Amino acid sequence: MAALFLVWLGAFGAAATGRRNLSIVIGLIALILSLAMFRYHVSDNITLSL
Amino acid sequence: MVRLFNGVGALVVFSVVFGAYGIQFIFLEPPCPLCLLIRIGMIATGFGLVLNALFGPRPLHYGFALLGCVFGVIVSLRNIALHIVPGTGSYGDAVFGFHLYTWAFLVFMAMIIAIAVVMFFQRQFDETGEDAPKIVNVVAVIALSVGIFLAAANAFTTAVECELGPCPDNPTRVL
Repeated sequence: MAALFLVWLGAFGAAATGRRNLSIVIGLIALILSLAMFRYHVSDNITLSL
Repeated sequence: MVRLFNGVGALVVFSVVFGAYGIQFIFLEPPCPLCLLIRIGMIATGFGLVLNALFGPRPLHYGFALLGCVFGVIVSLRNIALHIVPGTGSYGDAVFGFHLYTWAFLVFMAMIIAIAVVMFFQRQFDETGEDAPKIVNVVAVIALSVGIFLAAANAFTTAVECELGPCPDNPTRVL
């Protein structure tokens, strides 16, 4: 999960250096990884998926 | 003017994450994995708005912010659904009558509506932004700085709480 925030940090860093397209690409990758992490935490056993 | 609106909007979204940090450290409530994903939704939404504030309004930036909102809505609805059955308890204390994940859902829905309304104004996409007042650039840089700080701070606190991998389902450590 911390690695996900680091990817978002990279997206903000790219935006800060003026590389708009790169920041959007990194942001989209971060969003897809976030979805994957959400899927990981969606369990059939709802007591385990807080 | 639209760039200023986006910068302020990003700061509003980021302030919600600061509020979550306040709950985490003042009331010593460790964030659950879904709560951290909701923060990511807020950061993603703010990121799209920061791009608008920095580089000028583009449909691509608004689309990115909307994707962040939709991600946040999905996660917060999942969190609400986990506790919607009477007797299944809740996660954390209520704030002004709602739990944080319910507030997050309302904030994401409000952002979707606000972004949709702002996108009605077509002429914003024709502006060059070269003659923008100084305050617009100042707010954009502040919003960008806050976003960088939040991403870095969350990376650090989450790494301390649950290292680089997935977080435990029922966290006990605040930091």
